[in-house]
Amino acid sequence: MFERFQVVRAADVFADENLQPYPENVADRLREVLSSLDPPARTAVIESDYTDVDYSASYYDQRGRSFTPDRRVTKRIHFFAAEFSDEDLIEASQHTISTMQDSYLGFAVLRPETPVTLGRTVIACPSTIRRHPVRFPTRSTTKVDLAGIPLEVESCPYMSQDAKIMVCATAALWMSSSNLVDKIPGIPFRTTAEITALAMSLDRPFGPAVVQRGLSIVEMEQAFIRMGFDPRRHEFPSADRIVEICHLFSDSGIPPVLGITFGPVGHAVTVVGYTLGAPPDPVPAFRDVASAHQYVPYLVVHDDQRGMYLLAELEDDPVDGDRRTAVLTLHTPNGPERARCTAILVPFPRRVMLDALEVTAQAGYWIEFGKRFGVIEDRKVVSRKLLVRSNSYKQKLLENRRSPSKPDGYPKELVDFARALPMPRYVWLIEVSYVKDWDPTNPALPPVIAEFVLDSTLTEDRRPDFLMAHFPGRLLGNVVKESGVELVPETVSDDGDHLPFPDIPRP
Amino acid sequence: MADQKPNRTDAVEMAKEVERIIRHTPPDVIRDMEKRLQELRQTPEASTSDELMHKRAG
Repeated sequence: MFERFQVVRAADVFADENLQPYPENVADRLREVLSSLDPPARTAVIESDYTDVDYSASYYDQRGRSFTPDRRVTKRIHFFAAEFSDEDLIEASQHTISTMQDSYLGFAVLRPETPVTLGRTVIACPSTIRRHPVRFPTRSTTKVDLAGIPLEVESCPYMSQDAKIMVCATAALWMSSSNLVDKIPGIPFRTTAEITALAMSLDRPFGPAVVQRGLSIVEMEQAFIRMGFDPRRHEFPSADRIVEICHLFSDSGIPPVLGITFGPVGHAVTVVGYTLGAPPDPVPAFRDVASAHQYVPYLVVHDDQRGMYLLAELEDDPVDGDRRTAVLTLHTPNGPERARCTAILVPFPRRVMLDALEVTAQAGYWIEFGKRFGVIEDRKVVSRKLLVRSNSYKQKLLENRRSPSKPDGYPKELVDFARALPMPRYVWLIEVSYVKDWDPTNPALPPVIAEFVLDSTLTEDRRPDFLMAHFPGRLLGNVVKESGVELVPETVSDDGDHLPFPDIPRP
Repeated sequence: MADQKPNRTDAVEMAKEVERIIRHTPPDVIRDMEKRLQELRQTPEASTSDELMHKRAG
């Protein structure tokens, strides 16, 4: 009965040419990531005749309708850092189960095509890429069953196109949206076949049309809308704006999609994380307020044609006169490749009205207000912005309340004040730190001296507003009641710096 | 921290000013916010070629 499971060395999988997905770049990068994890992949379990949810959806829509049908089932390869044998898998002692669970690195689905392509792939996030420490706030947890053994992996899901029912744009949309299913209420899991149909407004099985034409940015936006998002589209952004938007939404757990062009060829990639490093010296600041994205030298992207977890750099390239275009350099296994960035597409949750730029303006206003009152020192500060579920914000505050064992936790008065304050489903959180406290040699974020919680459903962008403001030693809350809005001031006796909002996957 | 010894009077004074800004929003505050938004939106953007915008990603 266990013939369909084969336990082999991971190195044997990497050496078997029948198990290498097309194109070569994707296979090279998969091998590179699995070998660079700490600890690296040592054992693989090849699961034959695996019915994959994404592949079977496209099979029944297209391949299965051919006069000479393709194969319906896939191969799924699981990777582990520990070593064990076929007998161990069959025996499944408690020791083996624990060993497999503790050392699980994820799986890759191989579609049964000629050539073989990489389907749904969920591989653990590397802690470093090319020696740069990486942050993946967009990661999510995937639960897996292997012959009755429950396994889990934290990852940013990846896949490459099949060039039949889906193209790079479909893969990029899937790599973004599949990560949000457990984070945003009301967003169902969509297969790539469904995403192509949503983008192209098709209500019938597919023809070969999508492969020959690809998807425009407008069609990609339509797919997001029909999935239940309120997407935001930024056209022809500058390099700085791209890093700002991608950093901000990565920190919010939302992977943005970038529309790019390699020469005449349109393409799309998904941003899943970033690295932190030394900012330019001096830190550029808008009215003495620097932004956390200025400490981001590289974004980390999934490119369905060039591989997973790739470093990407951005710079502006003058076109002529005042015109410029953002150039994205992707560091692939075969060396750097340059593309031009034409658009950013962010799958916003519904009913978030206040845009990122308006949040930046609000942050600047309240920081200056704090300086005017002498509660924020008149020196350069840096702000970090993120969109967060309010219940998650309150839970994290409570979990990280200051105590003798957690001296850098949130002050008790702040925690109690925030917990009791009515908030909408999503809030914008702005954290303020002093630039002098940011150590560029340390990938950790600096301590927070003040924070503002904004109502994400605000529609008025010319009026400064907040739900909660925490200045050093002081708290102000706008309590929304049946009778109107009441401003409540409080003092914080045990104040001081505290840790930044944890970048864990949000429920 | 700029002020290590906050007291309730400070917080109440601050609250009065916040009330004035949020509930009554004087014209100078509106102008200030408009200017901030305008400056932020002025970040140099890239070229706006329709040809690039209508490119399809395949």
